This record gives sequence, C-alpha cells and structure tokens, in this order.
Amino acid sequence: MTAAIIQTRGLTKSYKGGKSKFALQNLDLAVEKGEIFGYLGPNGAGKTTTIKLLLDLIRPESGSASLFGLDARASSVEIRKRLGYLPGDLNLWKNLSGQHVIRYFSSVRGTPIPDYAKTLIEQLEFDPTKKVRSYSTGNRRKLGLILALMHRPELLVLDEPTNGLDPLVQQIFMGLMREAQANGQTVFLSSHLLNEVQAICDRAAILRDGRLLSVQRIDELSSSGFKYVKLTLRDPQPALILANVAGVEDIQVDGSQISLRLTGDFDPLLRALSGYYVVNMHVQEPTLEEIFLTYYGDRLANGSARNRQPTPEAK
Amino acid sequence: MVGAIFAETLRRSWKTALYWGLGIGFMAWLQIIVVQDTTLITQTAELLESVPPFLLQMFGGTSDMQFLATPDGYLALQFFGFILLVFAFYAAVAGLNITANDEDSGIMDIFLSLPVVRWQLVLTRVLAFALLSALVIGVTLTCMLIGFAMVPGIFNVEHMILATFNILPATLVVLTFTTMAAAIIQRKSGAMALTAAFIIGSYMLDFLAKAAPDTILGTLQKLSFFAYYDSASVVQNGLSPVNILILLAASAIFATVAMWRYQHRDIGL
Repeated sequence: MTAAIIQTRGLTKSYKGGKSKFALQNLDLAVEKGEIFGYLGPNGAGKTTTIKLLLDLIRPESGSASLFGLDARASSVEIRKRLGYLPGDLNLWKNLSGQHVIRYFSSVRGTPIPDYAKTLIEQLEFDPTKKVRSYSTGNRRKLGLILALMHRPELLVLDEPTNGLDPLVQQIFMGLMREAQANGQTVFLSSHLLNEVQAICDRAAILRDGRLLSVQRIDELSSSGFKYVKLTLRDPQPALILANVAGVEDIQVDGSQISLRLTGDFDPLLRALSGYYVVNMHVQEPTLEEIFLTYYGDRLANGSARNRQPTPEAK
Repeated sequence: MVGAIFAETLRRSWKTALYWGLGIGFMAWLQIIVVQDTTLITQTAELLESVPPFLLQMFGGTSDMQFLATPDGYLALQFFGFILLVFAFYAAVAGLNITANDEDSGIMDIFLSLPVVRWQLVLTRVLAFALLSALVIGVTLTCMLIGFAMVPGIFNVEHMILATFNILPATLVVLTFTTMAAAIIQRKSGAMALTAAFIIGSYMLDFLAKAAPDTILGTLQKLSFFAYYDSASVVQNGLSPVNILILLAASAIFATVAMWRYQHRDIGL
C-alpha cells in the first residue's frame, strides 16, 4: 500500500458551535500518493469545509488531518509550500492584471515565475495582460488553475475546478490532471459534476450532510449496487408478479416490456421468469449520476447506503 | 516571502497615501497662507474673546488667549486641533486593508493557501501601512514647509514640524486598533463599526473631559488617545515623550492582539 498524502481521522467541524450545525462529522479519509481523488457531494455537503480544514483556514472541533504525514495545523506553512489550491469561489484583486497576480503569488512562494506558468497560459489560451475585473468567469477560473498548477505542487486541491469552464477547456483541464498524475502529483478534486469525476478520478468519496457515505474506486462505484434491466416478453403477462422477487425494484410494465432495477444477483429474477418466453433482455449499468442520486435518495439514506462503509484503502 | 508582501502592499497603496498627503497638505498650506492677513488673526482673536473658556479648551486644547491669538495658536486651533480626525479616518481605511478587505471579498482563501504565516502577514502589512501613514504625514509636512517658506518669520517652524510628527503615533493607534477589530470581529462591517465607535468615543471623551476636567470624565480622559495627542501643547512646548510612548505602547498592544487572534481564528466564514 502506498503512503497516504491526505489522512483525516474523526475530523469534525460545526458552525455556530451547535451540535445540530455540523458541517463535517467524524471524517475518516485517506488519499494516496499519485491518485486523482474525487470528492463528491451537493452544495452544503461539507466539501469546501473539508478543504478549508486541510488548508488550515479553519480549525476542527475534534479530530485531526495530516498532509504528507505532517499535521495540518502544526505544519501548515510547510504543507502549503507543497500544494496548489483552487477555491470554488475564486476572488482576486480586481485592479491587478493576471500577470501581476501570477508574479505576486510566485514571489510570495519565493520563486520567479515558473516556466510551466507560461506553458499553462498557452495551453489554456489565457490573456494575462488584462485586469482581473475584466475577466469572464471562465477566464478567472483559468487564472486560478494557473496559480494552482504553475509551481507543479505535489498535491493539488481543487474545489469545483471546472465550474465556468467551457467544454473545450474542460477537456484541456482533464488532460492537465492526467499529466499531473503522470508526473507523480496527487489531485484532490471536489465536484458535483459526476461525468468529470468519472472521466478522470481513480477513486471517489461521496459526502452527504457532513458525513462520508462511501469511498470507492470509480469502476467499483460504477459497477456496484444495481443495474437497469429491460425485458421484452413475447406477450403481455399480467399475471407475472416481480415485486416480491429479491433485489427487484422500480418495476414499470408497458405491454410486453418490463423495466426494473435489480440489486444483487440475477438468479432470483431469472427463476421468476422461468415460466415465460423472454424475447430480449437488456442490462444497463447505471451512470455515476444515477448511483450518486441513489446515495442521496431519502429511501437509501436509511437503507442500502448504510451498508456502504468507507473503504479508504480500497485501491 | 514577507518582503514580497511588504513591497506589494506599498506598491498598491502609495498613490492613495500620496493623494491623502497632498489633500491634507493643501488644507494646511491654505491655513498657513491665510495667516499673512493680520486682520484675520485680529478678528479671530476678538472672536475668541467672546467664546467661553471651556469651549476654547474643548476645541483648541487650551484656553490661553494670548497663544490662540498668535499665528501658531491659529494653526493649532484651525489645523492641528481637528486634523487627527482626518488622519484617523485614513488610518481606519488603511487598517481595513490589513486583513478585512481581502477576507471580506474572499481573496484570503486563496492567499492563505500560499506559505504565509498569518501573524507575519498582519505584522508585515501593519508595518507597510505605518510607513504609508508616515508618507502621508511627510507629504503634508512638505506642503506646510512650502507654506512656511512663502510666509517666512511668522511661525515657529520647529514646533510646527514637531506637531506634524506628533500626528503619527495617534494615527498608528487607530491603524492597529482597526486591525485588531478586524481580527477579532471577522466581519468587515463589524470592524468598521467598532473602529468608528472607538474614534468618535475617544474624541467625545476627550472633548467633554476638557470642558469638565473635575468630573469623572477628567479621569476617563486617560482612556482617549486624543488626550495623548494634545496638539496645542506640542505647538507651544514641543513633543511629549511620555505621550508618544503611551501611544506607541497602545499600538504595540493592539497589533499584538491582532496578530495573535488572526493566527488562531477561522478564516473567511
């Protein structure tokens, strides 16, 4: 097993100090070196709170976080030398040019502008001569990406990185992430865009109401759980009752066509169909979005989601 | 790293400081030039004779009619008597630039992801704005010196220079107090309100205590930084090292509390 670049243990943060206002509760998470880790959840799930705790911008009520094996609080300056961060809501000094901000950030890091910054400017087709106030949302995000990536940090912490980027630039971004990974960098990427996570992440954590619901490899997450099954029978079969079959849910009957969602093995379903003539059976894996919605569905909040324990060492 | 922050703070704010200095300096220059008109001084002296002594004390810091009827006294009353309020406003605006503005606009989130020690950031910016405050005073003084050169032999220039320098320690008190307020309260609007209360409260306390020095206000006056500014006394007698030390000590305390608090609290909630 490789070393964890990010490790949290029982990380808890509440706002306004009340127990009922937990922004994050008992977060146990491990992100390994060299992986692209997706951190999924809707607004208010606790993604940004986690990132701010990792960056030591805010302090936890309990629990701890370490990055590169260093305590996030005690060694925060040392840690911040080795990471690049893109906030979800990027704000910069409006009367400065992009070039000026890039130079200022480099000088605060104690370095000249890295050559890689120029490469990024070209790749992202970014005009650094304009003032920040004149940049569109997309261009501001590009500047944020340049600031986060330009010094080739060991760890990239990106909060909703493709927000506001057009599809073409999103593709460039994904290429940059793969390049970073090939370069040995680790990426911690929060998002609510499932296709983005599905496209580039190795593993993903799903967060809800400040609680970690699941950590799985993307391929496992996509293949685990349930499937959509569409059956075509030779004739309509009103007598066929599948509601009691183990693992079968959401049955929809349209004449001789039956659509359902199947969790678990096929065997109980096939046994139930044994007396009928099946013309066709189409099995479709759910998209990550559908899996995602399953996690957030109220029914599953009290049901199957409970069975999915965090598996930080799943890789 | 700290040097980069210091340089950037200066680079971004020196023009503003220059304009403040020129604006205040122009006001001072006008007051100096107008003193050439001896009729004005005579009429002012006649007017002051009809003013109750406690009002003179409140507005001019002294009820010494002989002094107030001189060009030095005129400048002490018409410029140094109120100019600290203007400098306090500059210092409050500058103090919000230490952390509050960047935090309020969300810039601090990304800026503090750089390897910056928070208390060093506060200290560096406080020092940069202290230097910029000195620049404002320096430009003001330059304008005054031009005025003095245009009306030679009228003013005690040495005392006027000292009275101008005397503005700096009290300005630093407001600068560091605003920084502390922003570090404690976190919200810019709250820091502004607290700073305004501090400035106006200090001014009123000093103002009223001068009118009624034998009441409890006379004791409480020591809590007002205006009491240690005491411009009329500086114009007459030169600087008071004790007053300057008290103001610098208060500034150091406020800055220390600000650094400690900013180092330990959550950012940008």
